[in-house]
Amino acid sequence: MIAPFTIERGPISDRSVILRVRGELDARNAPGVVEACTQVRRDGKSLVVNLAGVSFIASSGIGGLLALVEEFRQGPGTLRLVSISPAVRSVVNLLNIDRFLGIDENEQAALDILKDGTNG
Amino acid sequence: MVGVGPAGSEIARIEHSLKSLLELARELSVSLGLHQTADLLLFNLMGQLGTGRAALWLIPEGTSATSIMIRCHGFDRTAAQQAGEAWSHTLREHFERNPVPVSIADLESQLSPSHLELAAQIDVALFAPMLAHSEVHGWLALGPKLGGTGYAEADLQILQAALGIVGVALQNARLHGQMTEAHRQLLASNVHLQEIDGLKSEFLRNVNHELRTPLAVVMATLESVVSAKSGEVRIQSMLAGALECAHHLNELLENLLTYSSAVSARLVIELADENVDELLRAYCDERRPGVTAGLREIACSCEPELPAAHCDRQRLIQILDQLLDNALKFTSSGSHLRLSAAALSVSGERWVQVEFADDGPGIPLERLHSIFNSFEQVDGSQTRVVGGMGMGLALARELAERMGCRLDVRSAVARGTTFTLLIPAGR
Repeated sequence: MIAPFTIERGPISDRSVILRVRGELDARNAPGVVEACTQVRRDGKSLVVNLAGVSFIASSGIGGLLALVEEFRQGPGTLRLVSISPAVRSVVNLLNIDRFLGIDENEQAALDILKDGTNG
Repeated sequence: MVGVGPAGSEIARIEHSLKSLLELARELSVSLGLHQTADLLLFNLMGQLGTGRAALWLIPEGTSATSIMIRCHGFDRTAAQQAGEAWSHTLREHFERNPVPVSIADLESQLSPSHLELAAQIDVALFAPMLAHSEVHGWLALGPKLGGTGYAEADLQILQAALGIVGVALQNARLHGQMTEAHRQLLASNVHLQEIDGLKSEFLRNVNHELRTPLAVVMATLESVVSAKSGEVRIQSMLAGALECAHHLNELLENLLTYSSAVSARLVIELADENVDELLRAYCDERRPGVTAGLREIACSCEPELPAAHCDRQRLIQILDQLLDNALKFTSSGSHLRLSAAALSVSGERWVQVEFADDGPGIPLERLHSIFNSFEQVDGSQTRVVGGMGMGLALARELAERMGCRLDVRSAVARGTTFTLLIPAGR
């Protein structure tokens, strides 16, 4: 049975928000993820997206993540992707786009980078 | 997992592209609206080709107007919008002659220096036409591929295949939307005619009352003169004839009054507790084909745990119809309409606040107070471009008041208009 798709809000600070995405990140769910992340950017905060629970990622899911990377590049906040699941890792490697995504080992590593003010 | 090494990697890429095209085809077989389809196409292509920027423009149906930006991801939105408007005619002409993807470098000779400056500003790498039945329906812009490798021949083939699938699907969706909308309009015009019939009866009744007062004076005067039997016989006879006609006229008016009262009794309001969230979503779904036909977008958002609203479902839908028809008349293609609902408490009274907002041209302050008056439109000039009697908003407010609701408006020129309907919360 496929786990239902969810976006859960993790700890929120003055400067950053953590979103934990679970389930299959496909065409149906990608716009919702982009909207939730864009809202964080509009609020002027940095964002950590935890992808540990993503069991499958379609092209639309990758496209959504790339759109977010571009949008966050325009500031003011920073985007970090963390705890990338094997399913996401294999597509990221295939497309050879890992160095553009801003990937960290886990939430704490991303928060440390955000605290240092570096964009990685 | 496919084997490692260059050949294995190539096969894996092809497998990824095939899976992506399958995803596109599979999702299109599910019912998707225009804007969701645009998101699907852009995200899918961005994920396949490895770019963080994509945008889609469509040409409004049956017009030579400027293309409308439907979706934009990764590009600077405002700059992309400006660039799209500036390039519209050049790209349309180009793709009508040569309907294949084209890089910005190959377009250079056709774009003016200011157009090229816009292209550099948003960092666009490639344009591709959206075709259906050999006609250009719009185009897509892609940013550079991440890693700076440039688009390969295989990428362009994938792009054309994806655009071909989506172009036909969008055209079918448009045709289906037109049919659905035509059907809805027929049903609505039937209801509307019945309503007009009711209003006509009410109008007759009002006219009747107005006519009866002077007629009563005429009859009383004639009766007193005729019963006094003074003056010439010829004049007496003429006055008696006039009195007879006045009585006849009065009888006609009585009959008319009875008829119009009976008809107007049909305009009843049936109040009940309604689930506004469900009602607004169903309403948006029903009207979406007609709204997107003009490349406008309608969205609906309701606060969670909204209380029930105490209103007449049919009348509420009529009010929404008037507000939406008004927005469709006065906003241009590409506008965004939003229906939303939230709970509101004012001095201990609980309301459900329904808002209908557009990002159209707005209404000048000096005209804002009169838009609910019958037979008035903001553009009162004889050369106005929008038809109609100016009855819609008057009817909407009348219906709202009859249900115990309040309908108000606020607006800012060049930013948009928001109508607010306050409905008493149910128990």
